[in-house]
Amino acid sequence: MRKFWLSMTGGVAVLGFILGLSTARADEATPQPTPAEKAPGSLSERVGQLEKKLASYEESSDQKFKQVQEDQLRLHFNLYGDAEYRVFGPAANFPLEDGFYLGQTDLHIMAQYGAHLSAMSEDVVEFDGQEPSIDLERIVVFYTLSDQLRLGAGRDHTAFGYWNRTYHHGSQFQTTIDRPFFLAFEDGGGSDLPFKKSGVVPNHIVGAFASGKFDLGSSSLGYELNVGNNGNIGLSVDPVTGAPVESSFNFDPEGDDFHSKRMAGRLVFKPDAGGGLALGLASVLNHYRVSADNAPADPSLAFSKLVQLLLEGEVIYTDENFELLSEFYNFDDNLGDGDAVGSANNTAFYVQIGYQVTPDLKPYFRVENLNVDANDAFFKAMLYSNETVYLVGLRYDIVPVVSSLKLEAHFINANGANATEVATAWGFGF
Amino acid sequence: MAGEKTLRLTGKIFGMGLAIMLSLGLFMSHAAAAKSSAVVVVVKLGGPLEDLTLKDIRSIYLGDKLFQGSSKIEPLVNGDDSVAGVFFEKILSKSKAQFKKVWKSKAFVDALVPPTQLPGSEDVLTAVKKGDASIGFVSRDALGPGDRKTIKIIYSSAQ
Repeated sequence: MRKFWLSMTGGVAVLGFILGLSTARADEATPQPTPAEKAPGSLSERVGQLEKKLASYEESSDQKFKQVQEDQLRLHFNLYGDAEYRVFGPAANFPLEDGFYLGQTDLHIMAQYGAHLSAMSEDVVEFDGQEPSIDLERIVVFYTLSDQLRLGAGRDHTAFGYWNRTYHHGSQFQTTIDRPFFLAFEDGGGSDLPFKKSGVVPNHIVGAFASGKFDLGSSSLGYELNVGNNGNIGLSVDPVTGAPVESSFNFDPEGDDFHSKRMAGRLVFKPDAGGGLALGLASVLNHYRVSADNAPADPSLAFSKLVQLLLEGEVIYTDENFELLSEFYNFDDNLGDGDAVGSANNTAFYVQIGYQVTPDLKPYFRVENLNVDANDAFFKAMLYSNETVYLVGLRYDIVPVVSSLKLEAHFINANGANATEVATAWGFGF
Repeated sequence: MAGEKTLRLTGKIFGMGLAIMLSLGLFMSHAAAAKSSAVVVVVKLGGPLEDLTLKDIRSIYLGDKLFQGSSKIEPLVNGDDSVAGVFFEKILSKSKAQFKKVWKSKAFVDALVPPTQLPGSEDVLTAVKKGDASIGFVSRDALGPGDRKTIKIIYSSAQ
């Protein structure tokens, strides 16, 4: 009995080995031709005929596939938006106001036709007071010749820095709720809050664009060039007192007041093309005039030409968990060649740090600063003086990439006056 | 007494043999399973993408490389999650959510249309065979003997 058991055990072992071996080799086994297939005669002739037919079918199918691939139009729609709750007040009277706000509702459409031609439009619905307005924020047509050269025309974000080129109106993409205050959109993002006003850099440009990227071994160098209309500074002035009330950038979609165009250029060097470190430089040459609805009491605000050279430097590091974003700006308003000049010593910067502690939780911190000459004609017309903002926040991704909840506290010092804002936003992007 | 000793010894030898054989069988099965989970990146044999490097593959799937010479590259995503998961993790070093985030951003900033997603490995293979500049990733198991005549493997996750 024992002998029988032992023989059985040995048999099972051998069977196990054979089974394992056969499983391992199963995928390598190829069917062997049967004798009938090997034999010459009518069967092989029929197989030959079938092979010819199959080859002819495949050729015609390939041609149709290529034609469809080359001609096909691809359309993609994305919808972004957020709902916000904000509490704001000066240090001595906090909270002064609070309420719910509709953020920007952003419809992004892009289309690609064939290998080279593509287009994109971004339409934003926002409330300015009671009335909703629709802004055509971006409309660009592109022709891509290669990775090194892409041409475009229309209205796009000006090539002057990481934030302005990376983040657009769908705030779901950016870690924070708001942009750094001096990079705020020209209309202040449609908010009625007193400190939510236009930034000091023209975010959009109407004109022509070129961009591309070169591989430098393991590194890469990207470039962006813009040439377009200058726009103007829209100044709202109290008709009785002549005091400036509100200021914002206006873009010129139909022509330009200046013969010299706005020009912008940006270079981005990545030491390791696939890595997270990027170093960038950018410059913008602007020509400004003030378009006031009433005569300002201070005549220096109503200039017709001020030339400004903006220089930007950026150090960016992003990986799956960590982000360091930093940009530094210098505004030189002392170039002459106009009826108004300012100072060359106007600077701005922000540094933002965030860390993904869990897949859905990310705390972050940011400091923003604008330091300007009090007599600079440009910043006087933009109603800006020295300002610093410290921001701390926490982002919770309800569904990664698709929807997030952000909670932030902003500690603001504007020209010596302190204020605080607490804001929360529920954003989405589909 | 001696017969019982011999019998015990024989039992021990067979027991050890059984353990070794079963272990070997299991190992071979495991090796086969590991092989079947390998993901390979494929292009059309004789097409313009034959000489792509791993860096190129990453650049293509992360939207940084659109052309190879004058050919517009057509990256394809395999809709089979088990295959896509291995590709994202081992070849792109990203999670699926991170991959999605990259393309959302590329679409928003550069108006780039994300790669076409096809249901599974067979569909990817069919598309790669037909498209000169198409690139896709499939399970190695999905490759039949005839595929080697029209398809070139340019990278394997098992490398």
